[in-house]
Amino acid sequence: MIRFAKPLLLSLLFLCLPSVSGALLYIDINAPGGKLMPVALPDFVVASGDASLARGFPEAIGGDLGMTSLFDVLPRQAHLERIVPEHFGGRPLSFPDWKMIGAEAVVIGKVEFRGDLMTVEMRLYDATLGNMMVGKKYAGPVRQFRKMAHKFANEVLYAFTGVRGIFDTEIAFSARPEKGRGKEIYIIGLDGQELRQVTDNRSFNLFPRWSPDAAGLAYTSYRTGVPQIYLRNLATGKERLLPQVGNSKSPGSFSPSGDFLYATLSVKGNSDIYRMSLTGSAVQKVAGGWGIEVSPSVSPDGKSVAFVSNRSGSPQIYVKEIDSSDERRVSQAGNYSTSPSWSPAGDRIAFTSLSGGRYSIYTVRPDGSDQRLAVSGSGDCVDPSFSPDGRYLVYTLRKNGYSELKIGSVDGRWQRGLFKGLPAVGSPSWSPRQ
Amino acid sequence: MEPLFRRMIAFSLVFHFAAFGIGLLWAALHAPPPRFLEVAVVDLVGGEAFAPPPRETAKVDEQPAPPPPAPETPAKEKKAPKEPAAPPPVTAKAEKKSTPKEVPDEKALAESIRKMRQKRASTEKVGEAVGTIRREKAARSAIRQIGERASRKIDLSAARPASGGMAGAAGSARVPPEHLAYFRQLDEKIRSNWTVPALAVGEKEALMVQLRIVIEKDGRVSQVRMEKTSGNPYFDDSVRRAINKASPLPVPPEQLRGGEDHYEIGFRFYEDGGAS
Amino acid sequence: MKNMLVGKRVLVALSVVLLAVAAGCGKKEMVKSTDGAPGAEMSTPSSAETQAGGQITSETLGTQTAMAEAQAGVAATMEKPSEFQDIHFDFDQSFIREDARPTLREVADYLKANPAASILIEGHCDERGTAEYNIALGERRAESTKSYLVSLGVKAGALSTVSFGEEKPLDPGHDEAAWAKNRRAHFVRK
Repeated sequence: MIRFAKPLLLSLLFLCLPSVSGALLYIDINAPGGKLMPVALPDFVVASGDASLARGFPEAIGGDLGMTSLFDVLPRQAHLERIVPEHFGGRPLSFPDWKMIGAEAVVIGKVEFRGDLMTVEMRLYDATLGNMMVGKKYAGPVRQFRKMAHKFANEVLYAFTGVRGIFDTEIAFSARPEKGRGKEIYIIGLDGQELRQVTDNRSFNLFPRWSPDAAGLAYTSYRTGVPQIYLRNLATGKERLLPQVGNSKSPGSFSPSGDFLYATLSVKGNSDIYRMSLTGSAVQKVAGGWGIEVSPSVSPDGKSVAFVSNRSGSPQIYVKEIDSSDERRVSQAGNYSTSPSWSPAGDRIAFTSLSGGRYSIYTVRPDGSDQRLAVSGSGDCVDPSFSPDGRYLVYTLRKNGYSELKIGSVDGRWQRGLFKGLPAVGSPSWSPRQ
Repeated sequence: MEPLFRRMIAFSLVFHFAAFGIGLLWAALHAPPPRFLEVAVVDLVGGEAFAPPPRETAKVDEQPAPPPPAPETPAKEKKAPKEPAAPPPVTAKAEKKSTPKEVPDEKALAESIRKMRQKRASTEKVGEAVGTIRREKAARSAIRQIGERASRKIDLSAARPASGGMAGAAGSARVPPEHLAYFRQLDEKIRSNWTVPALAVGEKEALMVQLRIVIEKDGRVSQVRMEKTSGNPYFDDSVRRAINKASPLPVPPEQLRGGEDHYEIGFRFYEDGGAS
Repeated sequence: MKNMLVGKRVLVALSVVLLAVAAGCGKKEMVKSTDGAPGAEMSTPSSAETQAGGQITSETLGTQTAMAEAQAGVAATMEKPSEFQDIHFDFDQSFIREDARPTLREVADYLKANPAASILIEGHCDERGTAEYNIALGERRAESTKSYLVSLGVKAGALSTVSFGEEKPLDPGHDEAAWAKNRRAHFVRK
């Protein structure tokens, strides 16, 4: 029997050995879709001065981050740690406290006044790794606080995604002033704040279009009784009257260099696309025909222009290579497509199209393929204008004479109302980055 | 009673082989996707034969016996810790079970296996067996401490599309259910804490980060070692954040740790380009 | 003795086999990271309405334009009375309709009788469609009217045109009746 002992013992040993696999294991993890990064925006430290800034800054930043569909701003009631001036003098944040409420990012800020000058220091911390990702100091008048907040929100976005934000850009538009029958040009911030009036001549002021350096606006004004195109320097208020060619005229878009303005001019009742030199006085027809050609929108590389033409019998969107005679139709379905806006990202053209009795906004590739619905609502959605990063559209929502401006992401994931404080708002135009 | 004894042996032999054969047959019919050869990895740990080979794609064919590319290591029959893997073959020829399509075996390993098998075949002393086992264990932890990379990687997850991705084809390994449960816990905890900054990832990019971590007895992550970065720093950062946020991780079960105070495991984080 | 040796070996082998078989058979499972369908979990867009503060800071950035200009500009926004009727157009069209001819003859007669007189033809559209296209359409209507009058013998120099697109509707309503009234050419004695 002893002979059997050995093998039996062996077998027993076998049984006793831990079944640990010395193998190297890799677990595959697929990225979960649609998750938002939780970010905490505690009250800013305000040493003196306007106490409302303590909330004003975080709210402005939160409003911006909310646009991206990437961030989830945690409610401030959940915050465990209070931010104090010492946090800017070397005291570290209590990261476990922030981690405990689930925050992955924390933005803290401190506001100081020296007379009229306000300085704001803002910091972005990665709460899970426990390090400061971005720290900036801004100085300026207190009424610029939103601009500072927007700039920092751009930094936060960049830190996590490498993408430049557009939160400090603005929208120009026309609307009827409270008293009067005409329309004036206004500018408003993305957050619907800081509304400013640009024109005040109580006539029709329409179709504001930004210059590439965001320093000026071209627009049509009837202030002399007939429409003319004016170029206004926003900082100085100085204006310049462009060559008075033709009867009706409206600016379309600037060339990327800012040397030309592509505009609609109508000569003898026939509207065509012209290129007007801003450094000289040359005016040159770019696209046209016996039909109506209007609304040029230049591609970001300056080589092509999208416009409307009704040469086929109904208004449709066409694209023309500027230095050749190649023209092609790009709007597909429907029998009324107007108001093209070429994305600064170059990949798509947005436009208004009538379909099913209602106007909606579509986008299409410059080669005419992949036409997609971008925005539609319970009224007419018209006159889209792309954000500088090509991710958002501003447009007018019209319903029974009521109108408001709205902004939304091109993919439809996010939208919000921008402005409805004046009647007859319309013709919005998104500024370039400053 | 010699003749009787002989008959007994014979009968027992026949019975055992029959039973074995039936078992084989049944398993072959019911076996779902093929398995991995973690057993081979275990052998790998055994000292002198260890050599970290580069890829896991080379097919191994060290068995004189026919079809399946890699034989379930017969070496396991005596030494290997109990892996609920394929029934180890009694002899060199009897073991062909279903084998995985992806065979993370390399020639060096094959050689070592054969050598070891041969060696073992010639020894039957318990003492020697135990000694070898002890050495293997020591070698294993030594390797872990050095952080050296072993040749074989076991995917517990469904196959990645790399090889055309039939679910079972490349992905399955025989792992005890309680271990699987732990791996799933890890997976869930980390995944639920992972936020990918969508804007940072291009529309058509497919990104992957591969890393190994060491989990202490209390679930704390004491080491993160990046093995492959995705090339997109924002994506890499999001992965680091995910692990930090998920820490402390579920405590690794004693069995997995094998008596150590820590447990090392790897992850591959994938972002499917164009998945949105 | 040889038999015993053989037998022992066989027993060892068999017992090992048995043990392995016992331990080995089990359902193989795979750890899969659940592939959340990327599209399905999108959070629904939250539309937080932000109202403008309504504070219009009337900072005209810069110099005001001349008063004279302002008058003409304001005037442009007013509906000017006319001794002539408006003529109307079909939706998205600028051709002269039959029902427009009587009025046009009247205008032509007046101008031919008063060679020093001049008339401004305003082209208008209804509110449908988009603003820039409507400026062009209004322009066409005004021009088309002018051509017709010229064909009736009026001197081109006596006629000027301006388009207001959809900016100056006659009837603020939002139905076909209002729209039909707004698609018009309007004659203003200069």
